[in-house]
Amino acid sequence: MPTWNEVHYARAQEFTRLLADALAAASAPSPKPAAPTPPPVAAKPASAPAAPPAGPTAATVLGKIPWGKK
Amino acid sequence: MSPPDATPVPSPLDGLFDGRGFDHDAAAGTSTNPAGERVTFATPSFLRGLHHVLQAEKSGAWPATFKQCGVVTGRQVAVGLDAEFARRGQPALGALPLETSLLFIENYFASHGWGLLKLDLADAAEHGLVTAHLQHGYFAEAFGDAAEFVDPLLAGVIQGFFEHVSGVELGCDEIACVRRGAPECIFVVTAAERLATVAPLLGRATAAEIIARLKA
Repeated sequence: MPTWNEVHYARAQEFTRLLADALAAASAPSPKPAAPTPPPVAAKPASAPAAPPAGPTAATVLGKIPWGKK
Repeated sequence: MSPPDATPVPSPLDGLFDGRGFDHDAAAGTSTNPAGERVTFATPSFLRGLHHVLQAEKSGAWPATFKQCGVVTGRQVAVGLDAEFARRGQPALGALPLETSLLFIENYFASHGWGLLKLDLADAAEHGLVTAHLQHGYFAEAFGDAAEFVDPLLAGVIQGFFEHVSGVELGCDEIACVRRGAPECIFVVTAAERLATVAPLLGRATAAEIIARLKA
């Protein structure tokens, strides 16, 4: 009967293979993340929808940051 | 007659991160976080074992692997929060005020035991940099025998979260780590091509020096 360590080492090896596959897939050119979408409308909201925030939204502020500034 | 109630009006989102911790259903063999998501636990010994296996199978691959897993996780965390907000009739993360949106990722780290995260946008508007400071980080404790940067997974989570909310493709690297002798773990978020310019400094320069180079 395999020991506890042997069983878990085998499982970890399988997990490693899965991770390697995921990494290889992720290394392929990927589309840019989708732009933020308006909040989806809940079919049956548990409470009344919140009023839109008065100030700039997180997406607006983060979208204006000069991330690529040299 | 009781005095007027001065307590804040309860928010439908209070239950997400109110410190209740996780729920455990021993009969079903399941655990859920405050948002109702199914979770399980990775003990330090499990993480150390996984780290050792990854190193043995393909030396040097684990930071990139964990980083990519983190990016996917960060996006999924943000998507999951948006879905929960929608279910409660609330705005999505990107439609919330910035401070509120960032507070959710900080609270997500804390509520899941990853450590105390503090995001700093002081250099964002002028220099295009966001820094994140992590204290009591779980990986730094779990990998107590390592002398390397141990938080690529969390760097990926931060990156994925910011990409989701901003709609911009970004990068995030850990630039200081407790396991390398720093008092806290520090991450920087900016364009990936800018991070590539300071990659040779990682592990050789302090966080302040790396940030100064990015600002120059």
